[in-house]
Amino acid sequence: MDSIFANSKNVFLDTVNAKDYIQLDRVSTIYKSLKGSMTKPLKMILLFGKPGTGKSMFLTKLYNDLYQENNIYLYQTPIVDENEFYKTLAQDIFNIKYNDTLNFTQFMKIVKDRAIEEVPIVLLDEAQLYSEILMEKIRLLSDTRCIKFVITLHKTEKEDLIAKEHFQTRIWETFELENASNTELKIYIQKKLMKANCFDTANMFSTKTVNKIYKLTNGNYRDTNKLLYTLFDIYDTYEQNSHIYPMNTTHIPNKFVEMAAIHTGLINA
Amino acid sequence: MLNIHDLERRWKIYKIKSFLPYIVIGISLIIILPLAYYFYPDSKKSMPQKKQIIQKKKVQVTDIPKKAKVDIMEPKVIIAQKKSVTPQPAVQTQKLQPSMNFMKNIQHQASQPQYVKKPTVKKPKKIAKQKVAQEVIQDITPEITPVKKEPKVAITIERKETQNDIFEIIKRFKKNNNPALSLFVAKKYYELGNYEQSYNYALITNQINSNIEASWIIFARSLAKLHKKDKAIHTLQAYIKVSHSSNAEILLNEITSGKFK
Repeated sequence: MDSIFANSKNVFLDTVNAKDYIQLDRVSTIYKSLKGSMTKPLKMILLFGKPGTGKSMFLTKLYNDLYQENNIYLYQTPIVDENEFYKTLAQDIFNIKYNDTLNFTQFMKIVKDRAIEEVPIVLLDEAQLYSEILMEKIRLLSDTRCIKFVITLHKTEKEDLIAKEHFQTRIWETFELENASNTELKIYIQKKLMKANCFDTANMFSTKTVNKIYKLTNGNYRDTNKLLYTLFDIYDTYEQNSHIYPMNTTHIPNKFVEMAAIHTGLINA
Repeated sequence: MLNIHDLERRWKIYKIKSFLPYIVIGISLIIILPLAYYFYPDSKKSMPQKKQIIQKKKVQVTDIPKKAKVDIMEPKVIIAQKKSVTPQPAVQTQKLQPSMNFMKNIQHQASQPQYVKKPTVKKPKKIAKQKVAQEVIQDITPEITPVKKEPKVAITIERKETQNDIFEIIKRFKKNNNPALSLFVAKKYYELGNYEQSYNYALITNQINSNIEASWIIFARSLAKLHKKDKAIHTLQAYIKVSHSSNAEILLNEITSGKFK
């Protein structure tokens, strides 16, 4: 049987799993709004935010919640090649398999000829990795109203592309995800641990410790996951090394947090 | 598996780095504070010195009027002290009040030399020749040195310009025979134009103390005013021989050159 620290460590593994989604008030509100937007006749929905703010988790959660009732497709990894992109969509949405090349004109003909009553929803994660030309073609595809796109973007210069007037008119709904606050971060950590039945370690996170973590990660979920994974890895290592350090489960020493931050590169030592 | 030892080492380096500014500040304070403590007393010392200087200044300021008063009130005493060669005993300060009784007594006193309009005064005549003059001076003031034996009394005289005030001083002179008083009276009479009386009191003063320069000068001035220039010249010449008084020489020159009026 693994120790509580090993179990806690695994809770913070950097994976995108809808089951790991943590309900926070602010995030839940955004999610409900996004979910409600799916039913509206919108051409394109934009979800953007800094890296590690939970965009991918949002899309995964959305997909998991809707895939049984809706015609929804999730592409977590960008299909950078244009031909491959059209072929993948043709096969997934229209169940047409192309062995040869499929260009934009051909795909548009398929979309118009085989218009589906229930508009398929395509979820594109990491859309900033798509080329500008492909993004323009995605826009044109959304204009047909035969496919609804939900794209996630990093808040980078790609925003400029989105901000272009011809593109902006097609984006009917925009959602911005932000880093967690101190309170949200504490709830996030404790909920995440309690979800995995790690009650002892969840209780170790006092407000002081969370504030320290917040100071290091600035509330970024990905950085927090990474830090806490290393933190419990340190605990686990000490535990395995015949209790080199007197273990205390009532609180987390700053030393451990700082060591984890050094290891993850949050502190440049 | 984490390399926990390496991580601990890095953490220690990080902690040292993070505390480095505080350590530097602490060391700086440790260095600066003793230095400040070392220099602080100096500044403290310098402060009282300044205060002392201020106090001294204050003292000087307060003393000046006193000195001024002394200078004004004791002009004769200063002259008497200048003349004294040997170290003097502790000076006693006596404030005189004018005594008018002296005037009555002095008028009837036969022993006191009186000015006679006819110049029958033998002693000034003898002064004409140097040898004789010296004898005369000795006769008139037989105790040149004994005067030194007399206890010097610093006198504070309050000036009063009226004739009655002079009488008061004459009264006091009769009581203690102080040459300073008689000299004062002589000067006052001279100022008032009563040259006969000024001659008399200057003569009395010279008899009591032959070392008073001012007395000899008043004596000579009075003679000159009484149209006895020759006697005045002889007297001054005899006195200059003995005392080498520059004031007497100036007066002698004035009288001889006819500038004296």
